[in-house]
Amino acid sequence: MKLSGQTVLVGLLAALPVHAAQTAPVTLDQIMTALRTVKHVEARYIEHRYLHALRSPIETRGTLRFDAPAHLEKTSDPAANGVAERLTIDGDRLTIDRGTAASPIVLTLHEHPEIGVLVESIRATLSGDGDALRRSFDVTPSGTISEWQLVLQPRTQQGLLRWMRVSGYAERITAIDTQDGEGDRSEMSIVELPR
Amino acid sequence: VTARRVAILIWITVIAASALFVARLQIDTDMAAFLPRSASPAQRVLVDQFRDGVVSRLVLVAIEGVPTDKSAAISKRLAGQLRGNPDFVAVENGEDSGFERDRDFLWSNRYLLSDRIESTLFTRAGLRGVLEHDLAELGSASGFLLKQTLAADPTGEMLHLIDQQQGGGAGPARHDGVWVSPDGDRTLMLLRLRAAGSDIDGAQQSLAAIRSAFAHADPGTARLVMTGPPVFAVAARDRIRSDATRLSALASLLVAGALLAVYRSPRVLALAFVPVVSGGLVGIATVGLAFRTIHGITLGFGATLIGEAVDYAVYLFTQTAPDSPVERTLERIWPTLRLGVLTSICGFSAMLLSSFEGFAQLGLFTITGLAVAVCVTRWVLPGLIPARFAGVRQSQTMLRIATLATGGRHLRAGVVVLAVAAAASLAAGKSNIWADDLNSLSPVSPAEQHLDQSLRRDVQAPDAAYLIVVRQTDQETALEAAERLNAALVPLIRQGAIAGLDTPTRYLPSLAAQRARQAALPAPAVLQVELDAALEGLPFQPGLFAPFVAAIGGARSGPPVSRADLDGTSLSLRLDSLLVPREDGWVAMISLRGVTAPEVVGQAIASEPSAVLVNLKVESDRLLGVYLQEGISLAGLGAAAIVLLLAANLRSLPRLIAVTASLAAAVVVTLAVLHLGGQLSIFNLFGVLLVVAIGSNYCLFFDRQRDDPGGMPRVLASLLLANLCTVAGFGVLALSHTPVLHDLGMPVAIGTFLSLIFATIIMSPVRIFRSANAAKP
Repeated sequence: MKLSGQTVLVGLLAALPVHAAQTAPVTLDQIMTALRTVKHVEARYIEHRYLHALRSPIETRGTLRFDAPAHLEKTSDPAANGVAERLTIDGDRLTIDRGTAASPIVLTLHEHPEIGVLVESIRATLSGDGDALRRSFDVTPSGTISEWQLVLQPRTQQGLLRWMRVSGYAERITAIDTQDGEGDRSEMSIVELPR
Repeated sequence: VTARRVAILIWITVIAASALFVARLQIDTDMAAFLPRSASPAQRVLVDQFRDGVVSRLVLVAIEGVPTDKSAAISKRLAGQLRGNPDFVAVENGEDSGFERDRDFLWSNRYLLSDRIESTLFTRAGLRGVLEHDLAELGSASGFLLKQTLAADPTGEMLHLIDQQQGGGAGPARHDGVWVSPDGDRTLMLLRLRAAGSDIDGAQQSLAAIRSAFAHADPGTARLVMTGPPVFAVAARDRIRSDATRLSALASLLVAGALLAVYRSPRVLALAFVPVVSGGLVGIATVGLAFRTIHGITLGFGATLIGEAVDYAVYLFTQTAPDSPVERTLERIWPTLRLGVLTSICGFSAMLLSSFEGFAQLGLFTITGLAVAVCVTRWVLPGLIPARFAGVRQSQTMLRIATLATGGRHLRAGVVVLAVAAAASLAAGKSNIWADDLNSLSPVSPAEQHLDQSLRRDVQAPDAAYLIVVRQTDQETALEAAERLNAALVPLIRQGAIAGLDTPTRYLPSLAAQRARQAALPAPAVLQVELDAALEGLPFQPGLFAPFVAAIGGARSGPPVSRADLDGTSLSLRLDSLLVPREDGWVAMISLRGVTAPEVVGQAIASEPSAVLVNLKVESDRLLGVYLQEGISLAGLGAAAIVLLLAANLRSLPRLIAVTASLAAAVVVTLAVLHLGGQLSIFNLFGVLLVVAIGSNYCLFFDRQRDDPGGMPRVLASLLLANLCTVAGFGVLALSHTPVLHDLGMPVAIGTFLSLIFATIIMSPVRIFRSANAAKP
């Protein structure tokens, strides 16, 4: 009976994997597996920054674009002065380009470990690289696969990132919230564009 | 006999005094001695930079051969050791430790250093613009850069200063905080020595300290690579020293071997070297007296003296028959010897006129050396020769050689054809036959130059191609001039005429500029009112900018920035390279990057009369041009003096033509042969001058022999032996890796040999020999 009970359970899992996963508490591997299926995605975002220096948050909007495994672009909508800003993460290199005469700011992970943490948290999450996340962060998944949350806390270098919370369902990310070492927060909600 | 004793006594005294003096003489290996004394202001900048400019003290260090993680750790340990050593003014490897002080200095003096400080910036309208910009910046991706400094520095002066320091470039790549090459194969370090570029002993000591620190930094299998002017200077000195001793020894050995084979007497061999050694000692002492030091290259030239001065003894010994005393030989050959030495002195005296100290030294050394050698041969040597000196028998070999030479006249047409062909090949050459790249004179090998360039690129060290130099009576006026120039140049960046610039006033503004900035800062109470008005309707927290108001108050009443405030920062290094005290005042330099339109720069600085735009590459090439031109005209002058001297002595046009034609053919063919191997250097030119000096001796002996045909075989033998010695002495120099020694050795070895052959062919000893034979039974 014992043996057949296991067989039944295995059979059930094999027959209804999605259903089972949707009700059970989600694991990091499940989220990563789902995210790994996404090779290319474009989305609109709205970001609110809550800073100690300011009485009210700053709101920015723009477009996100990700190409597996390690290319991410965040392009803001042109501001009142017509300047749009593009932030690109390519491998371990972060570039901020204002499209003006001034040369773009280029930062690398090796050069600035603090920024490295920020870059790695986003890159590893989007590409579904669970091992890389575990190396640098304390990772706490919660929810189910149909509505999950992932909290990342850097083991070192918490100046620019104290924690990051990524929310989503299945292979889609719907929000990224962060807080830095000074307690300033950013909330970004993401709506994927039709593929 | 008493006259002979007196001569020997004088000789011993002079030699002893010279030896004592030479033993204490400082040997100088500064290549700047080979730069002209009478230089233009631009060239003086170049020479100064060579001698003790900051660039001349930079050592680039690479650690390679192990994984990047390991070499980064070694780099940190090595830097840690060197930072404690007072021989190193700066140790930079990318680690932040060196830059904390820089940031502190910039942060605490930002309102005195920033060139954007104007009173309008602190009005409510000015501040409003600044704050709106800050708000937009906080919402941007790079907002985190501003966030930390916002409250104390809303106008962003610190970011502006850092931007300027970095010159738009991000610096070398890093690994674990340490500079690495773009491919990650090696870690990089930039060291500045306390020792000036001309202090080679100091440089050598510092380099030894680096090697020892590296050995103590647990390097494992890692390799240490060093480059830069101090490394080159030390290597060049070692090389010149070892070449000079090694090659002189080798040349002496070869010459001694040849002489021993002919004379079969160690005593005669030793006597043959007496004139050479005497000439060398007195020559060195004379140069030392005249110039206070002697250059290593002049000393290396000592090897060449062996080549020529040993000839005098060879002529004397070989032309002395077994049954006649040396005095008779001397009486016979003295006119020829004297004329030969005078000819050489004429040729070399042109070098005395050179504005390059190195060449003037060479000239003086050679002239004194030869004069002393010939005097010793004439007056001292006879007293030292043993009474039973047997002379040299006219051997079968001599006769055979003389017979062989009889065929020479048939080749006259051949010599003419050869000389014409050589002249044609020189004239037909498309490129300039003289090398006009200063690198061709450098004792640094192409491989070392390549390594240096690649490290320089990796570490993004300044190459200082364009400099604007301004000379003033004191530091303040020099800084003020630099500020006026800066104001004229900054618009050119936007126009694209230059990509960027670095000026000493970034690190140390003039007192006048600092006072003006302080005057532009408002009183704290005034600032608070303006700030509150500007903040109207903006979402900044109340009281946020209190640190800003306090900082303005501090800067307004604080002391101005002085040179001492920069101590311990890496910025002081940059300041010292751009603001330099000279004996006649202060020199401020503005270095330009990415110059695309030098003429526009020239116009922009025209308003500043004492400012000069210097292109270091063009200037150093122009320097070589001056060098070459002077060399060629001096050589021409020397040649003309030689021809005049010969004409006055020979008093016969056909004889003069025969002598000069032999020499001219030898020179032209030598030049053509050297040109096959590439462009000719300035040192080749002076080698050719030596060919004329030595070759003319051969021709004169042939010429004099018209009066004594019977002695021809013996004279020919003495010339052959003398030439063998010369070719050995100079041929050995051609083995040297030091361009100056190599380039002098080649033409002399080839040219003197050709002189002998051509003189044999053209001056027809054949007929003379036959008549001598006919006279015999």
